Amino acid sequence: MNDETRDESLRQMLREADPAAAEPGLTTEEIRAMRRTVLTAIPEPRRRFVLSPALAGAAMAALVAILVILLWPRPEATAPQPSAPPRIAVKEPVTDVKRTDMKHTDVNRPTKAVAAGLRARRPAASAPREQLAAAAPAPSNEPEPHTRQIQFDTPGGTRVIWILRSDNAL
Amino acid sequence: MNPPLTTSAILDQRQSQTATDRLARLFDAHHERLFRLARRLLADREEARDLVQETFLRAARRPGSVPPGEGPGEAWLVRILVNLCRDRHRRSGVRTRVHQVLRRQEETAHPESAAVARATVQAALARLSPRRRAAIVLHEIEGMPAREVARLLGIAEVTVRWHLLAARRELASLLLAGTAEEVGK
Repeated sequence: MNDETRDESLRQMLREADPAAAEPGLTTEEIRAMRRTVLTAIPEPRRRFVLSPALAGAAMAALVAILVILLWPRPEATAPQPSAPPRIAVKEPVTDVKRTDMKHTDVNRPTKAVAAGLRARRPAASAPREQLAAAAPAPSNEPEPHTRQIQFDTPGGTRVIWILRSDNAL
Repeated sequence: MNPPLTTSAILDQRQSQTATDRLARLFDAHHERLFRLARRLLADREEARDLVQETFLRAARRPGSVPPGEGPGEAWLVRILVNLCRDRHRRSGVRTRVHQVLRRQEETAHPESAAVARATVQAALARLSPRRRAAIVLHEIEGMPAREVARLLGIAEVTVRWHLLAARRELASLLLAGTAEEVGK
């Protein structure tokens, strides 16, 4: 059997045995179901991020609130600390200072506390150290050194250091 | 909730509608043809139907991968169908199943020789690789020229001719020289 005859025989066998020849094809219902399955499988296009007006307004309000909080002038560090009184120590610029606990201290008026301590002690001008024991407002009459340093710790751990001039200016 | 009436939302809606329309046109134009081809590649009707559906689902899930135009779209679908057939062929061990089908038919002594002949030819075709099987089916049964088969399968014409030559040799050795027992081996 030469190749051409062989190929022709094969072709005939294949066509006679063609399963699609006897196949009626997909039914109407099958076609409809398949079509529906296929067309519903199309994914939705990815939406670009669009801010709705309400969402944009909320975002703007949040941004403004954050800016206000960040830019609002902060109160001074000596703002009242209701939990515990700060420990206040007065020290000369060149000498060591002992810190001492202050009880019943008016933290809003530290200069008065310092003055009260000074009045309580009435140290000599040449005394190397001073300590405060109680708080009471009173001006100081003693001759002051050119500068005086006040240090105290807040409950939060912040150390505050004031250097007072002779005219009690901070 | 209604989508916002922004330009991008409108464009997205149009794009979705365009993809749906295009796929619907592809389906209406080619589902019958693909089913016939799938039927010739696979012995089982249900498998052929599943294969056609899976082919169109591939197009639906990635509409951008279908090339524009009627001819390229059809060729793309045929290639996907053949590739799916190849994957199924690898996974399911078709030769073993065909052998079992033939054995069952022989045992029941089916009186219709035409049915046995069809089964024998199908079993022989199943021995071929899916791409080779597709080439011989498209060329010999559907009567397509080799150039057209090459376009549909996405291979060179010379490759199609080589597949046809190899397929004929193999089918001849199975169908013209032996019986179903040789096919089952």
